[in-house]
Amino acid sequence: MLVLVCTLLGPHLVSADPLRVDLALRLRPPDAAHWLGCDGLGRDILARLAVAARRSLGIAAAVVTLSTITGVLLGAVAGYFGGWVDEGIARIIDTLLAFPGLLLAIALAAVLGPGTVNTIIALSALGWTGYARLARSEVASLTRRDFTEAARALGASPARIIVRHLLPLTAPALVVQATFGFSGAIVADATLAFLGLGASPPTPTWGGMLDEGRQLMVPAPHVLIAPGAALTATIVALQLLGDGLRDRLALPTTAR
Amino acid sequence: MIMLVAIASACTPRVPPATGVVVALESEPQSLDPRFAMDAAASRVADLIHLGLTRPREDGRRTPALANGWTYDDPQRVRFCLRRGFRFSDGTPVTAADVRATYEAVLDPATGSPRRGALAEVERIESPDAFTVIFHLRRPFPPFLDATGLGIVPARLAMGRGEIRVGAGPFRVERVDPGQRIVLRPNPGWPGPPPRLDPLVLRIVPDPLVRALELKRGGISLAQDPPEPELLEWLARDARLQVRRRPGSSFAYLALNLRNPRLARPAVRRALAMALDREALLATVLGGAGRPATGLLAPEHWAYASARLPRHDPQRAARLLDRTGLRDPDGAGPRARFRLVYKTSSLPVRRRLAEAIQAQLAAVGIAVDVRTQEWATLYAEVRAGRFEIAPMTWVGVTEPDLYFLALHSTMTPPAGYNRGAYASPVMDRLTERARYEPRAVRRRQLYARIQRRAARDLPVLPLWWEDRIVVHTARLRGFEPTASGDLHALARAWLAP
Amino acid sequence: MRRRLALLPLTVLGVLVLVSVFLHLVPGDAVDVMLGDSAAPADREVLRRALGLDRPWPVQLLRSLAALSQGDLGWSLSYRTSVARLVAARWPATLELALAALAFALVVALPLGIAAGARPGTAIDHLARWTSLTGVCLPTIVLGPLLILVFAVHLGWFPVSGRDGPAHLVLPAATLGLGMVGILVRLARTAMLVALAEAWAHAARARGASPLRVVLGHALPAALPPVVTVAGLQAGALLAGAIVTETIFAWPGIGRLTVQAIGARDYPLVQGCVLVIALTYVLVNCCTDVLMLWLDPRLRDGE
Repeated sequence: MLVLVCTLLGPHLVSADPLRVDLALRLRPPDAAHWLGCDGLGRDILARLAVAARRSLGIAAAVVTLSTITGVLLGAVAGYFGGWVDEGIARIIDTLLAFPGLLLAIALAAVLGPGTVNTIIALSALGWTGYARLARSEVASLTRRDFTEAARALGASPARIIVRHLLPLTAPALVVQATFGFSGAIVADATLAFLGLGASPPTPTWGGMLDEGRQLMVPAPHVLIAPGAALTATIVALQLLGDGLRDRLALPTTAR
Repeated sequence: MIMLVAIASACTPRVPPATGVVVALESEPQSLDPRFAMDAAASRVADLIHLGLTRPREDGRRTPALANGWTYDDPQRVRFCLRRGFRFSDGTPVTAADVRATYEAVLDPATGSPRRGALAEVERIESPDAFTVIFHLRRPFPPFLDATGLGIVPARLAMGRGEIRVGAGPFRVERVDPGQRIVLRPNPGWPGPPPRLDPLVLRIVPDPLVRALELKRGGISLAQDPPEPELLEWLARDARLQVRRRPGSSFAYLALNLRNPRLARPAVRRALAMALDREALLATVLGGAGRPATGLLAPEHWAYASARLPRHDPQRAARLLDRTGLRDPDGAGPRARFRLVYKTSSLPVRRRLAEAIQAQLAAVGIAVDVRTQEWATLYAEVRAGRFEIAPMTWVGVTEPDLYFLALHSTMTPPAGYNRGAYASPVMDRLTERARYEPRAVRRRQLYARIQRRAARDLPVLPLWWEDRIVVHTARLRGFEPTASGDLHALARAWLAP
Repeated sequence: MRRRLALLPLTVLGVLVLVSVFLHLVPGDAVDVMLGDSAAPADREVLRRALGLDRPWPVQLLRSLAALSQGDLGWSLSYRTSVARLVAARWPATLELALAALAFALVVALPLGIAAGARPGTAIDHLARWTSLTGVCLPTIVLGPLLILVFAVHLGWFPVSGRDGPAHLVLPAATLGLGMVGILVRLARTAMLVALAEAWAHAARARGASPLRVVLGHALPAALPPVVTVAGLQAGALLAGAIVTETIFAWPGIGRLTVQAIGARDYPLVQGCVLVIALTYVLVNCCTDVLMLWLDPRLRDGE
């Protein structure tokens, strides 16, 4: 909760300019003027962290939302109907998964240019398949169960069955995957930065800051510790959130 | 955890034998064949396993290698006398026939050698006896000598399609583990004292941070192209390592696209030069490992002529821009006079440079959009002219004829390196004359005029000449780093116990 | 099952077509990369024609597909040697790393996850949840050098990078594996929780079966499917070449080769790499599906 609050209010709380370059302050460790120290170009880390929070969390949220919706829909449909529908969708999933993601990322970056939106598109385009597979296998196994047969016999439409009955049961596993997907998206941003495809400078993202920090791991660890700690805190918070959600969702099954 | 401990206790790390040295390469050489090797890693290996007629000197001139020397029968005929006693790694002696076959293979379009362009003026090659080679040029062409560093391969292999690893250099290739390492041993056919580094292993370690960690741990003994300056300091504090630094000749600059109407104006380019504080950039991005440059040729070069660049003066830059009519709409406010797109590759050093330059130009009211791109894409974009500013580096500048290839109006890509479409009739004339001028003194004068003009016109914005930094184990003796990063000196080095 | 196998080539074909499309969409030209700047335009044309690059890209694609169907993987433009040889040299390395990482992840994640699911709220549960976070919070680019710094430089237990013996495999496998541990632990735990909460689990306990028996005999098989699915997915991703890990640990695998090939716009090499990756990936999927069928008899009804 704390993290969320900080994220939203962040840029307004911090007074230093996250973009102001002061080469003389390069890599200064934390002190009174700069609470978390300065990065490789003398920019205040705390300020950058706060601004980056918004950006990174935004990217991750968008990616997860897009991926989940697409993936779950397609996966559930595939799992429920089976047959050619299932085969067709499964083939598409397989094809995309076997596709080297890097090539897609480079291609998108070259054609559209690097940037936030394109990062979201690239990560979502590759990410939805994970949810689809999970949804598909869960729904497929649940479809064979008695209660599904019962619902069908009672005349419920496939859509109703899927949404009202099957999806909630798959929710726990999906929620777990989603929380990881969220953290994964933030972390993927760092890897994209490593490969040179992340958001454009000078906008800070946690991923980009992690990448810069790792180069300076030995001589100036404070550059790495700040975004690392922020990321860890966020992920922990997310996990707690996810656990709470999932426990809440899993409870109805025990009432049976 | 248990698993880790078990494995740790069972295996001891393998260390290279006491007389061997492990050198780090940043990337895998695409070819060990001198007809095709163009990338930096390939050149490093080529320095060790191949030998050409001549080798580069620190001042950019050539020094005899396989050849004893050369003479000009007339300005269009260059005669090389080969030394005796050189043998290929397969034992056969090096003769004129081999030299001729190698060059003819490169000249043959069917081979598809990237080195063909540099030999464009060669009409034919003669080998009247076993130790003499005569090159007939279409016209007097001093830059030809620069291309005689081409490694010589045996005649019977020269026209073949496969990769030729047999060479006349101090080392021979014993084994190649693809993607991993190249193991070299002394070439038995090497005349003179045999190399004492046996084996010499070239290991591919792509990540600069990991290279530094390997140095610390002893997994590699020598690395060039160091990581962050602060990391270098960390390495320097280790008594088992030695950090060598010397002035280098790699020229870093900002390529400008003069097709852009604003960059086409010399006053704007001068203002840009004034807005940049190169000393500060050098200190930040390279840790001070470089010298602010005035032009393509470093002071050690034989054709170097000093020239003056505009000094760092943001106020003057602002006034200059005002005078050109590109006013700042709101003074110190966020709106800019104009925007420029800065395309760069994604290396952390490059990114940092980009952001620093962005900040410096913002101080005079020019907004810079930084776009990072993957290298091949960036390269293609720059060559296609789809850029405005882009940082570039010329590594190992030896032949001043590069001025022709880079600044002549007809040398826009794909013909040459004039990516910014700079066109100046005066520069065209000067570079053409300098190309074909056989008299050394006169040639030098021409290049002096070219350098001064380039400093005034600023077709590119010079940044600095990068220092050459090598980190190696303190046990390595007899190794002198060169300005170009050539590893040939390893033939004379040895490891103290 | 038979249907699945029959459709296999279709998936691979789909991948190859996609790859071809993207490679030709992206700016950059193999001939430019090969010849550099100083070659005359005439030379470029000669080379382009010799390599067949002057044809429109659908034609190029068809030609390479035809060659592939005869088992010819082609000639690499940047390395000037056969693609098959390049790929075959790198392939075992990637396989080794992927298997080791998977083994590491499963050995760490499964026991933790199952134990945590069986005893929620206890110390084991908390340990599991916190351990699972390590791999997720830190991207490989940070985790790798961190592990190197601690285990190779300071403690000196392992070598830093390269591939030279079993000791060299540990750190890269651990780096890659830790990334998967997180999600596997959580999935296993969740699945266990759900399975144990089911009615029949209660019934079994009521019948007097020991808790251990309930866990291992009944809940485990029911809990495995999602774990297996995700593990299979991850395995596919691993085999696709853990590019970052390979780069950091200087591991001579397919991932790095693919990246280099893409950078050089070396179409035949990219195709060769992607083909191998896609084939393996599809095969892994088949194995996963087979495993799923074996584990969950209920799925067999649909066949």
